[in-house]
Amino acid sequence: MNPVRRFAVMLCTLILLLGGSSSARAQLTALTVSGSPATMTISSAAAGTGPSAVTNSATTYFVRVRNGAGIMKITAEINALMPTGTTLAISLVAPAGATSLGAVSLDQTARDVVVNIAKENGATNAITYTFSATVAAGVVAVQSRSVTLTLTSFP
Amino acid sequence: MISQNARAVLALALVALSGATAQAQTTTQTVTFAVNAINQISFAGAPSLTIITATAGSAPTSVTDATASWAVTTNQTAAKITASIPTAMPAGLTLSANLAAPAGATSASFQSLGTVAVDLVTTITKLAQGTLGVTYRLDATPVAGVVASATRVVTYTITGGT
Repeated sequence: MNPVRRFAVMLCTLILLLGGSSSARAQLTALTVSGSPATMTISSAAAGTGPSAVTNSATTYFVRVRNGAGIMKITAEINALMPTGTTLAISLVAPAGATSLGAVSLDQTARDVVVNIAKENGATNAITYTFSATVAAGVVAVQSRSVTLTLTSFP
Repeated sequence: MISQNARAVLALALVALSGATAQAQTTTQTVTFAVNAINQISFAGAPSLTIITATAGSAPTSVTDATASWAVTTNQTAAKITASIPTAMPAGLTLSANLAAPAGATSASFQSLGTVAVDLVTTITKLAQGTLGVTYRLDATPVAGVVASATRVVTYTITGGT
């Protein structure tokens, strides 16, 4: 085998080993959640003030961004707008070295929630949802929103 | 020296590897929520009323106390506030209450309090408002005579609308 052909074969092998298959890519990055939170119901208020918001911190997410994947971020969005007068916010505890943007109100645009994730070999951190409503929202029947978390390149 | 072909292969390899870093990963959660009917009121203050004078030829002079306040939160439409006392007032005495109306609602002004609940504020709709005035008035006729100090607990109730 001539040197050029040998070099090409070696490179192709390297591609297959490191990045040429989806499984290899999957090993570089990962994002999963522990499940979905229980129903959040607003049912009280102090007289003279708005309804009391409710929170749920029972779920977690796992993120992995191995060396070579670059610097990444997590965004969040919902599949449909919230009812008028209500707000759903999400807050993710950041892995070491990354930055959480705190409570971020969700809508149908992907919003940054954690940025600057680099060289994270695997961390599990808390997700906190806060559901709030104004009196103008009135009574809101039980309904759901799908929250999509995406791990993608930063910035 | 790497040939042109090798450089091309190397470039392809770098593109392939860099493509791996751009892979976005997604995961989803389902968030379920609801808002129940909320109707809350609170009252502050302990007013005291004593009739001590009269104009000659007239009934005893009524007294008022406006030191108390109230607050309300409702996320419903057309809620109302009623009030009652557990036992009737002594003969010849009348205790009345007047609640300042929150925005958009209607006050019934002074209403005599008895054991049957009376409407004081109506059409309270989707609001949260505090520091609203409460005024009590005590009226007496001469037949009431001298009445020893007594108290009545006024019970306010908010009834949700729709």
